[in-house]
Amino acid sequence: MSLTPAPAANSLRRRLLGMGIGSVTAVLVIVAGLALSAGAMQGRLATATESVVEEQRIADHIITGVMRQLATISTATQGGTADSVLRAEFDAAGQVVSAGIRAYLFRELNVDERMRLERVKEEHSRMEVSALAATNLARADTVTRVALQAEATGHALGLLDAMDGFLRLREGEYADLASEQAAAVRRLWVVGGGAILGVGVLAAFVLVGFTRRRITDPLAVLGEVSTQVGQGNLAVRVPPQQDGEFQALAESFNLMSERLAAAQGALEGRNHALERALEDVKRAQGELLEAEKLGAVGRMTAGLAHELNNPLASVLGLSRLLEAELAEDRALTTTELRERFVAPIVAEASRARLLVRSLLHFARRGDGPVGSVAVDAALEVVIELRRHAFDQSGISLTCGPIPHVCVVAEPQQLQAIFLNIIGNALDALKGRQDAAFHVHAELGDGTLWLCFDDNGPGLTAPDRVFEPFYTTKPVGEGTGLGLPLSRRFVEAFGGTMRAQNRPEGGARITVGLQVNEGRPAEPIAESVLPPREDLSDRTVLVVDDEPELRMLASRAIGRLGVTVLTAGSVHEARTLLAMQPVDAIVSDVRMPGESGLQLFTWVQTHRPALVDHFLFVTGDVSEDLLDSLALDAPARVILKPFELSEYLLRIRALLT
Amino acid sequence: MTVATGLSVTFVEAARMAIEEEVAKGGLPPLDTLLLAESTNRAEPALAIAAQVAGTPGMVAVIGHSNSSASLSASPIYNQAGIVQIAPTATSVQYSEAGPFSFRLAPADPMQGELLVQAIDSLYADGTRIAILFVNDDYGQGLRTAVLERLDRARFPVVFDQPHGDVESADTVPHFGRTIRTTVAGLHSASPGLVLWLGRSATLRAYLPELRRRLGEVPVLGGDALSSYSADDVASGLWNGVRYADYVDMQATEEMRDFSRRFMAREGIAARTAEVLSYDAMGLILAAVRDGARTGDEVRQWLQTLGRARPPWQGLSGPITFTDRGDVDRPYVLITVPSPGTPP
Repeated sequence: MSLTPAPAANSLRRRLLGMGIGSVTAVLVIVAGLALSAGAMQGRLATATESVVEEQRIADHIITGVMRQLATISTATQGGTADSVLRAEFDAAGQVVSAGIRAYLFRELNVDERMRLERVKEEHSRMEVSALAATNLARADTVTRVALQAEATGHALGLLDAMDGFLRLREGEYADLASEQAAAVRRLWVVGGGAILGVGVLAAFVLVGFTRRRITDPLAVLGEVSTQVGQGNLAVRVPPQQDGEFQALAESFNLMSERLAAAQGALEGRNHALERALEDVKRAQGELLEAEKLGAVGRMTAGLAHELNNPLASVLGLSRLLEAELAEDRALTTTELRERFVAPIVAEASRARLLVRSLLHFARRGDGPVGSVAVDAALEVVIELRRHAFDQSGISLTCGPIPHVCVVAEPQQLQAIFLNIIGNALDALKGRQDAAFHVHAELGDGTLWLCFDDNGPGLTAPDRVFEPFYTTKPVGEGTGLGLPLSRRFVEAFGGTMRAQNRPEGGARITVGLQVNEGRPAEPIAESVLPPREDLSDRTVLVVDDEPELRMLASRAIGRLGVTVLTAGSVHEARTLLAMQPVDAIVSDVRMPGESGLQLFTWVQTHRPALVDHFLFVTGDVSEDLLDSLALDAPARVILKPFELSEYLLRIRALLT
Repeated sequence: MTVATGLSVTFVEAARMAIEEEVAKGGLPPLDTLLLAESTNRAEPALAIAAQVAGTPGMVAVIGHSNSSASLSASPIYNQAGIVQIAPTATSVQYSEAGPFSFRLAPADPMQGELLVQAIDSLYADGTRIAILFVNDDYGQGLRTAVLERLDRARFPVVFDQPHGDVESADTVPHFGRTIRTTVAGLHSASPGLVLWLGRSATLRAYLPELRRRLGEVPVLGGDALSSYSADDVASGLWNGVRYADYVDMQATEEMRDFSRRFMAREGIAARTAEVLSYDAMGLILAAVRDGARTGDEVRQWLQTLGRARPPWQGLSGPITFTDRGDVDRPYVLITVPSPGTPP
């Protein structure tokens, strides 16, 4: 997913700064407005206070002037002072009063106040008229003078009364103004406080909304997207954000997710490639292992053919010799017959059987479960397989006493390990004088130590012999996997394997195997045929495509005194079974047409009573179904070539 | 838009006459009038009128009031309300300080004082003893001050200087008749050669009988307030020879004489110069309105531009212009009350 460039986003920092500046500005404006209003009110109050003081001063001048005028009159009536002087004093005082009244006149007064002031003015005028009349005109007329003086005093009192009324009005107005200003200040505080509170609440709402829209919501989106990315959904992307910081974060996050998705895709691709490579390696390992085993088998084949030829030649020769003796009618005692002919033939045939069985065992796929394995038997099989090759090469192959214990191993893999070690020794010792290979064992601390020593040239690089594909053999003669695979098997058994050069010369491969406390498998003992019996009421059906084997089986089973029926195919067997009952079935597995397994399946359906009386005789060790049948009932399968005694014992067990 | 008056009855009628004549000419925008009259020279009635006028919506100008005290007391109300005030006869010096909306058509006291002093100089011999009787209000005090500042007392000694109340306050002042007698007795004892009357005509009318009885034909020289003497005063013979300062000479121009005839025909009484000035005051305001002034401030500006941005306005009393303080630029004239039997 490619990132689409988001539209130019605003900066969250700038927005927050703008909000902060706006809020602070709003508060400052309100505070400034409050301050200005308060200042204006304070100014008006100061002006009013100054006015009160000024008016009080004016009132003082007026009253003082009037008092001075009255005093002047009193002085004039008492005599002693020139009239002109008194009149000048009187006029000067009168001018002070008039000036005071004019000072009031041009102030801001309401009509009532102006009315009062006019009353003051009029009373003053009349007081002056009466006073001057008393002093200038009625000085000789005491009655008139006193009357005029009384008039002047009355007007003076009227003036003072009017002045008092005027001042009361002014005081009332100033008191109203003070009350209005106090109320205005209260309103100012209420309005200002309310405005600040409102701005605060509004700013808080705006801030909360802004924080939710611009911070917490984007963070929640980022958190949700992060969770989804953490859960593996790398396709999810953070949507474009409004603010620059979150937009940058979203772009970085999306870029990181995109790169993560690309890396994961590449990693998955590599994983797939590695898985495929691993499968290839496993397949190659399997193929190499099989190739190694097949190579080993192939290398053994030449010696094995010679090995088999010898007993076969002995058997054939003794048989021919016996045939000739019988043709010459030579009288042979039973003892001569058994010692000179039968016993050697049986011994040579047994030897051949051992070779074939060992080869078959080795050829089986070694992927069975790890269990308890008799190590001496396993080693013996391998040694016997390779003895002839050592003999042919003039190499001494000796084996010290091997404790009869079981070790933890898988039998086939254990034999492959031994075969690899012995095969490598054979290759290393070929062409050397007095070459010798010796196997010996030591038991201690729950581990069986098997040492494979030779007196060859030793190991070029003991530390590398377990590296895959490391080999000192010529090209085409070794894969370099024998020892690495062997050590892998050993380690899978819980054991150890190491390589070293012996101080006295030559190489030593040491294999340490854990001793299994379980009971070791009993070696198969040589046995003799069971004695003849009389089981004439029993019938055994032998199914085999080989006529010689059918004849051998018929003669051998006949020793049990039973009735033996033979069939050359499964079809023939079913026909016989349809015609008459039998007590047991002994069947080959591989046959032309239907196999013995198909016959067993038919029996399971149509003669289920015979399922537990069915014996497979086979030389095929690769049939998985047969393995599973043998696993359920080990006595149900017997491998060719078999000991005749064991064969009869099995059949006898089926009948009883 | 409203214009108003706050004047004596005859002044108001002169203003009404101006309105009617201007309306008759046509071309005036719709105009309301609030023509209020007052019967006293006291300031209190003027303040009541001022409050009513200032409270009237659309008021642009008022003609008022009848004297200096009333005009001066009401002037702050008009200035505060932005209403042009034209006082026809206020002469007090303080009125020049009343405010930018206050104008007047009577020259201020100093000019009147100058005229009176010149008259004394020219009409009376040195050593003439002068008795001053002044009304004890803004008018009388201002005029007395103006005269005393100019009078050469060495040549014309002031032997009597006494204030008095207005006659309209006689009802409220006890012993007013006794006061007159006492005052005139004092005046008589001072033996003045000239009585300088700086009061109103009505008061002089109350004083003259006692004055003539005690001082005979002593000359009386007065201020502009005497211009409102009546025909009865003339007929009484008591006013014979009384001289006074007047704003204009009613007989100087044919327009003035024609106005007197029309006023007589309309009101049945003779017009005085105060009516002329009231007539001219209303004419000024209506001229401003005719010129487009619709608010008090526009009327104020129109008046201030007379003789400057526009020519002087030609009234009955002559060409009119104003100083920056709203004072008219016009000299006083000296008038002598005619003898009985002399045709007006």
